Amino acid sequence: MSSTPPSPPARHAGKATLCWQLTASFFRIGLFAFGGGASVIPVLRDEVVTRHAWFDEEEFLDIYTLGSTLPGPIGSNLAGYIGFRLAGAAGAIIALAASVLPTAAAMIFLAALYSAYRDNVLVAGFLEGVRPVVIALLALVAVSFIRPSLGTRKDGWHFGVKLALVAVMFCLTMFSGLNAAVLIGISGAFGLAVLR
Amino acid sequence: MTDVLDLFVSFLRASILGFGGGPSMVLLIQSEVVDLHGWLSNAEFLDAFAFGNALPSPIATKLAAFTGYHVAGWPGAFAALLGVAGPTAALVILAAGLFMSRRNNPVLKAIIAGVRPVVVALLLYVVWDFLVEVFGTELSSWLANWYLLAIAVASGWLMQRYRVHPVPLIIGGGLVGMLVAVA
Repeated sequence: MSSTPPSPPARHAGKATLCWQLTASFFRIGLFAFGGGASVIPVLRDEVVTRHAWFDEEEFLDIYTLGSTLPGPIGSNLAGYIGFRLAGAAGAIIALAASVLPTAAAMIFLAALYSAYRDNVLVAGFLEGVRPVVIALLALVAVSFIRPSLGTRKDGWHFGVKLALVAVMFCLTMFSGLNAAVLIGISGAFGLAVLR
Repeated sequence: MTDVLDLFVSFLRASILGFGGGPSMVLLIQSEVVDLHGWLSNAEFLDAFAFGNALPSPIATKLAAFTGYHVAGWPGAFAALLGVAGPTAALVILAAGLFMSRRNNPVLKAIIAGVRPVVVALLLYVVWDFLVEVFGTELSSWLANWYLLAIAVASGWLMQRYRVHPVPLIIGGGLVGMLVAVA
């Protein structure tokens, strides 16, 4: 882990421009996160790390860690936080609204159509084809998290311990059915005891 | 008016108890909406859930909008959305503020060093879970779904090698799925 203090997010523009960028970004994020839950992560990462460089890889990992440690929908939690970091309270409200409202409205307006289209082959086919894309993109995000979360082999035994932690926690998630918050608590305590 | 307030409180409760993101909240929302308040019948809830899954973005916020509107029109939709998304987002902002200002504290650094690998493990598990859901656990069902496997490999390669934006990949995957469905 680097010992440099967190750099403020790169601000490439004035606040008004930034608010527009936030609106457009989170509108896209809300619109293309098919598959619920974690499917928002690849699109989100692409917008805030790759496209706008608002955060670097390590900051994004920390933001994601916080979002998945605390309760609530991760997509809207991260939208609120990222908006706040970039443009204060106004930014938080803008990013939340832009990511949540369009599909909320779609949910309300299109619900009446649902019974007519519920068994539509095209809709089912579209969703089936999107799923493997989301899997591949999520796997790439997981890979991008490896370096900032594990370090490299040069870090010595810390690297080995963290690698083992990934494997152990993966198995615990799969077989113990323990809540994510519990696992995060356990490993935080483990870090405190071992990784000093 | 009491309905609007009840909607806010119900969705706030589901959200604040929902660790592990949207999907873990669906059961909590169901117990509030169906069992506690009877706003929707179980069949209506399952229909809303299935329909919500066909649309993008988090499932919890879509269920909130749908239930709120169903019960009390636009004010209801707004109250439910505010309850599900507002307080936990504020909590993240608050917690992150505390965390970022103490980022170099050695105790906190040790905790974070332990937590980061777990987050990777949890995300890998999500990937694994999706894989099993789509392809099953038998080799034969992986082979039978070869075109889905091809979509996964192709989109991962295009993203990694050519930095293709996720949005065209998502739309492309969906279109291939549609083609296969009608073929």
